[in-house]
Amino acid sequence: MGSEWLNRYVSIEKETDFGEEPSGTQIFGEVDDESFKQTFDLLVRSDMSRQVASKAVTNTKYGEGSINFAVQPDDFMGWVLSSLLPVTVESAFYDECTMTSRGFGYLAGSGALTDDGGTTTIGYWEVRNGASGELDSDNDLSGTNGEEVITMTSGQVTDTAWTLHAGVTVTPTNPGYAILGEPDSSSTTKGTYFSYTGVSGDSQLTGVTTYKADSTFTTAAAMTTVVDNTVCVQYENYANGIEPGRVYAYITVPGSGKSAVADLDEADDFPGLSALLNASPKIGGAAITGAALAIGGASKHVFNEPVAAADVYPSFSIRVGREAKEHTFTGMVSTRLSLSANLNEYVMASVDWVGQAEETPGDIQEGVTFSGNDVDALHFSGAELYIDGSLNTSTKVQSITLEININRDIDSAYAVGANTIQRIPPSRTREITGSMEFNEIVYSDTTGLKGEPTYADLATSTTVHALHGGQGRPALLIKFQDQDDADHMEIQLYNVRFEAPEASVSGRDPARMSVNFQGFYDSKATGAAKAIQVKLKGTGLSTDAYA
Amino acid sequence: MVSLEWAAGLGRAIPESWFPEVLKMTEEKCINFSKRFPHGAMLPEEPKPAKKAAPKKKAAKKAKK
Repeated sequence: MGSEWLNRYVSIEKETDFGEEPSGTQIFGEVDDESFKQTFDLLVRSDMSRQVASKAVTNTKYGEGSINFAVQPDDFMGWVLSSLLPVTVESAFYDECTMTSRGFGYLAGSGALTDDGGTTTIGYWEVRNGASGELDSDNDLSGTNGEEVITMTSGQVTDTAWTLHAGVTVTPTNPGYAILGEPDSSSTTKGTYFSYTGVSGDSQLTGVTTYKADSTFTTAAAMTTVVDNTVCVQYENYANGIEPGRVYAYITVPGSGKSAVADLDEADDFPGLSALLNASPKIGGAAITGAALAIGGASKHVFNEPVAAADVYPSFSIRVGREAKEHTFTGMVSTRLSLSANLNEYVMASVDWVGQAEETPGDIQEGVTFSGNDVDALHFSGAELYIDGSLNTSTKVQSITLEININRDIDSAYAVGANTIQRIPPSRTREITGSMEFNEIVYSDTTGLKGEPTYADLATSTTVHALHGGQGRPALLIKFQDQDDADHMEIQLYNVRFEAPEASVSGRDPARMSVNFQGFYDSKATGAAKAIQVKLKGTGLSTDAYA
Repeated sequence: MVSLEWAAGLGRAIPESWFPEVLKMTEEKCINFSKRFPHGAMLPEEPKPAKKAAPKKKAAKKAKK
């Protein structure tokens, strides 16, 4: 008899050839439970000679099992992710496009982002504005803050432009937010962040408070006169953190073998962008500066769906220590991964595997080293959800689940001549589904929403509620972090559509809302050309790709 | 949120690839995080000035036949 708890483990090791047990480095995971087994039925003769059948042989055999574990930023998690998203790169991939200044006053628009002067698209840039316009004359803003009036060109204020903020009518309790010109802390004339509480006629914003360069709209600051035609752009939704008139860029092709690029050129690498700045008669906007491409850096990994013929799903040998003996399952491939983040829990993962039949149990391994020895599991308080490109995490989501299922077809992996599978069970439709529970019923007049779908969006609208902005903007970005907000896993979905919500009230429970969603491929011409992308970063992760 | 200069004062060799995360940390979290790394200087070295390309040597003229 073995030494019980000392010899419980699950390890995975990538196979070079399907079904052939490798003898390299195993990666041991700190799993909560496993259920690996081999499965077969009896193939029973059904002759008419006797009432009871007299002959039977072993029918098709295969191995299957699930593991449940807390998500940790360790190599075990990295290999698990690579089993479903096998196009993976460490460090040398474009991670994000950074800028010293995102500019001011650009009109809304989007276009390609390149790293070679306009030839190779690696992503997209976009400017997200609410309404936009320009001053009708020199505006003296030296009066009492909160009572100022900004006058724009006539006709620019309409029932929908400037009158609404994030879909809700602008009032003193739901002010609108905007940027005039190029805010500068040392100037009272170049521009300012400002809020307003109403509109008048077809050109005026009333109840204006100016904040100069304070983008948090905290400390009001007096202005003097801002000149005629200075550009004025409204926040699409102040709560989501996306500033109007400014440029945000998303990488859709992270690539491999990349190095950081320090000096992107606005004219060449952001085609179409310069035309949106200071378009006549507008003046006072400022161009982006210091645009650069940052790479992932050491121990940051990106995982993507297979896109080329060479991108194949890997198979693994999984060894399970069961106190006295080691059970080995070769040719194992993952078919489903589910993740869940609930209050008071670690972020949990569950993975289903299928593969060849089990081998004869062998000697147990002793004193194994788990890949997550030095890291803590990610947990609910570090879970964040960013909706539709929002820079601010939602504060209304109480739990979220996500499942990726590639529906492997075991039947297609058999061949006559053997009763176990002979090739990797082919994958079928990739299904990405999930659910989220909100801590209240989110109504359309709820203020402070950061892109969360409302009950009206989900239930009473005549069209399906879709988050599908294109341009590589994540429809949902789920981020799980450790307690230092350092190690993390980031899941990006690019095209999300919601099912009908549930918002029933029961007994004395508070009213909440939950909704299921599905993730789809982003097929827009200027889209991500993928359904999902995952990034994993941790100080304990390998500095080699999981490939 | 801490600055890189503040984090450098912790005297831990936090790699440059973690600077984006450091900039979003509170002081308490940054102190905890820094303990994962050995003692040492954090800030990256100043980029070295690019070396001037060696002057091209003129191709030797072919000897006249």
